[in-house]
Amino acid sequence: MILSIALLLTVLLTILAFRTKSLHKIEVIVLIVFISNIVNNVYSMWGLNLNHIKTSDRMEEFISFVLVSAAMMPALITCMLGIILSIRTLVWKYLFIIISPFLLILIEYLADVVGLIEHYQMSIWDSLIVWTSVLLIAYIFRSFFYSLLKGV
Amino acid sequence: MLLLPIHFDENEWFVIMALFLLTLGLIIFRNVLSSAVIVAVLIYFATIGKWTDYVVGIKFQHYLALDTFKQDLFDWLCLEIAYPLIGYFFVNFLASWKLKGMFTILYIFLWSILLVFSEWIASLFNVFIYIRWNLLYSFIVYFSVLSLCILYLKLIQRVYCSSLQK
Repeated sequence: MILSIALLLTVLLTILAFRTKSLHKIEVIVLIVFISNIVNNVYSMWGLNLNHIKTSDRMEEFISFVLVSAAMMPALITCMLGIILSIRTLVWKYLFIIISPFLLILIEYLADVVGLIEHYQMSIWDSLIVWTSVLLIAYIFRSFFYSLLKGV
Repeated sequence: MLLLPIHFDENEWFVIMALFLLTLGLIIFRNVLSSAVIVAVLIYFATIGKWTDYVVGIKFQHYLALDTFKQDLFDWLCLEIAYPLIGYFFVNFLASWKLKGMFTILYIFLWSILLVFSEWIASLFNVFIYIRWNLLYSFIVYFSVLSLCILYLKLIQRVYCSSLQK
């Protein structure tokens, strides 16, 4: 059940990411792969090395966790970047930038509620710092990759 | 947070030597790919290597990589620098030799054997200690990852060409 929901959400968000007008398809592909790498770093360093996050030992939940962190979260973050880049009004742009990490925290804590992960000694503020950093790194990488595409 | 190695012994030296040789190869061999494609390929190999290692090595503990089931600095260097550079050479030679059809499959096969051989040498230096794993499984993983890379590359090149036309 949880795997089906994760799969459905991943497919939907990936389609949504590819339909973003402000990002080219090559940017979407590379961004999803890049963010997947960053999310893996987050779970390896915070989860594995510091024992702040534990993944489920049940196979279905673990596969769902891998699917969510390797594909769904990167697709969602790519969509967010696409939206941020397409918003013209400065106020709305900054508002969305502020809201975005909280949306990611919401998903992380939903994953905790359904049993995909368990948080140990990790406060909501730690998560806020982590997801804001992920968004910032993704944005910097997008700018770098865009300059490569344009041959700057 | 990245951990430092528990013991600085032969496996860490092997990683340092491998990184040195790969960097040397990067200087020696001529690049035929565009910058955007190189970045896309490097990221692909870093990401797929990290997730495979996370699931197979760390979570299911089929093998022990570099003395620990956690991710230390040398694990990170392997996954984020060595694997992407190996992937870069795979794609660069494929592009420079302009291989197509059956030759591509043969090329993937030969690269998989080469990677299994280098993994066997790495295991002699205790970089990998197999628990429920063997080199045949590694061959299957390498063959799948390299085949998937070809599909990824074709997709990247198609959308890259369309982005240049716009």
